[in-house]
Amino acid sequence: MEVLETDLDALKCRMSATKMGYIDDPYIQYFLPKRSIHKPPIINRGTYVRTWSIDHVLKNFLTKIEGKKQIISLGAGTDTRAFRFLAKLPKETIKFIELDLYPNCVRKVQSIAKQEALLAMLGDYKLDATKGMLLSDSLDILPLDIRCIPEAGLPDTADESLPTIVLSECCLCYLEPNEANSICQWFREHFSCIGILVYEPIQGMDSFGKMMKSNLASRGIYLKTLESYDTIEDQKTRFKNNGFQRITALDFVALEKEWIPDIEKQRIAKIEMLDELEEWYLLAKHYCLVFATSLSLYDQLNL
Amino acid sequence: MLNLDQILERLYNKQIIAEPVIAYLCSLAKEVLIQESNVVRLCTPITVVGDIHGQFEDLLEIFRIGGPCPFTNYIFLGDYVDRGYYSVETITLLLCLKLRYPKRITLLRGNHESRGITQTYGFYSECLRKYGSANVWKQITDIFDFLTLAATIDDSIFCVHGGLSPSIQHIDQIVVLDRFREFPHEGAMADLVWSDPDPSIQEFSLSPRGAGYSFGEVIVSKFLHENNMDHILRAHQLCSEGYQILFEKKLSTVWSAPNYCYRCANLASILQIDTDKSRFFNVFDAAPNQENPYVEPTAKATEYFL
Repeated sequence: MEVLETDLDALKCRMSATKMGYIDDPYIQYFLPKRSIHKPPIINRGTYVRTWSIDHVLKNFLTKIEGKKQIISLGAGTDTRAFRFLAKLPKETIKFIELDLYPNCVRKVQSIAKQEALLAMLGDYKLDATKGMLLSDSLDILPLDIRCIPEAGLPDTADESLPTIVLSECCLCYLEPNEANSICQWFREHFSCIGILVYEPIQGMDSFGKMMKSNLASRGIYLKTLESYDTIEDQKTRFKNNGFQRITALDFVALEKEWIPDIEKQRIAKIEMLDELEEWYLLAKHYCLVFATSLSLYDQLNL
Repeated sequence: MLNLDQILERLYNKQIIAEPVIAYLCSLAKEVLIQESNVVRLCTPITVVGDIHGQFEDLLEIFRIGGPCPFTNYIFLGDYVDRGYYSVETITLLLCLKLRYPKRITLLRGNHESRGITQTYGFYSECLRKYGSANVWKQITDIFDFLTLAATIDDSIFCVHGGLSPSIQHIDQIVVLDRFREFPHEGAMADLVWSDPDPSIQEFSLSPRGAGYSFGEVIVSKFLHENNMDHILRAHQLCSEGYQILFEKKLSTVWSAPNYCYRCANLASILQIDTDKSRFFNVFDAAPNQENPYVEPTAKATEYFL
């Protein structure tokens, strides 16, 4: 399935951004593909903004709320976020659960199994690389087709009583809209203190969006929810309809402008000069971050 | 001695040119380009072309739309290489045309005609991929040092890749610059290829690009008045409609790379100026995509966030 490949694509982007100094990720070296990769500056910048903004929301969640918290990452793939956070925040208060398709889980668990440095971060653990399964105090990796969640629920290790954020970093967008929304609704119904953090493309109807769909289709990649959710307003309505009471949504042009501190902006501008700003604005306008929460989570986060 | 017409025919047929032939073309080109002033004087009728960025199929389309060189006079405003996958073919064809018809085609230097930028934005990698070494990249980037910086058309239109500089009030100041070198990080030579007009300001401001300046209408009016000209033509900025006219028609941007980076889905244009000085933006869309045996199909290679 070409959707499995999207993890490799994202990994290469993160590797390039890490190598150039946009992102600090001491753990990506354990999941590297064999060749050294340098992505164009515009892609490095976009990878940085994507990583920074998701980190920002999750860090707020993990530091502002007392007690144990849970992050469920859909289609996590080779993402190293769990390790980056576990290295810096009190372990006993965080539980990461990563769900992905079996081949991706196998690959990730195999990589972790080889690295003492990573195993040491997990606490007590049980690992079965052939099953693509890891269970530990801090991080679970479980093979699961997330489309089954509305019918079959989550694995037992997930705790519905904990404040939880579900992360979809370009994952739900590959599903049919009704499948994606069923999953969101299921989480809203089963978790009392819940937020969904979604990063995905928008604006599929303009000429850039059409070109994007066509280019990705030639690789067998289809952004199925893009047809239904064209604008920021569409996304807000979508999550309101899915039962979430507080929704923040913005495109990456706005996000870079309003969220990223000036000092960070200056730092990354020095790494690589962007030769074409119009191109950056055009690309960034076509990606959004949506953070939809229950009232209970929103109040605790004091946003 | 090699026959320029034969080399041109190979290029029009999208056949790759051997390294020794490129070395030969570069040595000839140096002799021609070195004689040009920093500001070349041109006359109408002429067709003005903006950024190409290695989109060779679209360059061929430009010759189909605007008419073949030498039957149409051309001025190219720079940025021949980087981003697209056929920078080598693009710059080689243009240098060859300059050698064959030196009075019919003028090539300005853009900010991408630079050693540093081409190492980040694709030309260097393309040369490595197509020739197995950096020799061709070195020969061509050495030639970039000889490309001229600006031009005038009918003594009334000023042409440059980027825009204006706080260090330059009069065109004569450009004429006396030493252009035969890599771009310095700042100063007039850098400004001319990096600056952008900005309708929201009046004078100069630091550029968000990190090089050159943003400049407003007051600066444009002053420059035109000081130099007894009535229009500035430049490229350098992506235009979704292929061109943009600003400051009550005192300045135009021409952008000639359609569907830039095979991703932006923008239109492109060439500007046709007739002997009566009338300006017509001939707008066009991307050429039908044809596969190059050396490079994977472009749709699949186009990058997004997944």
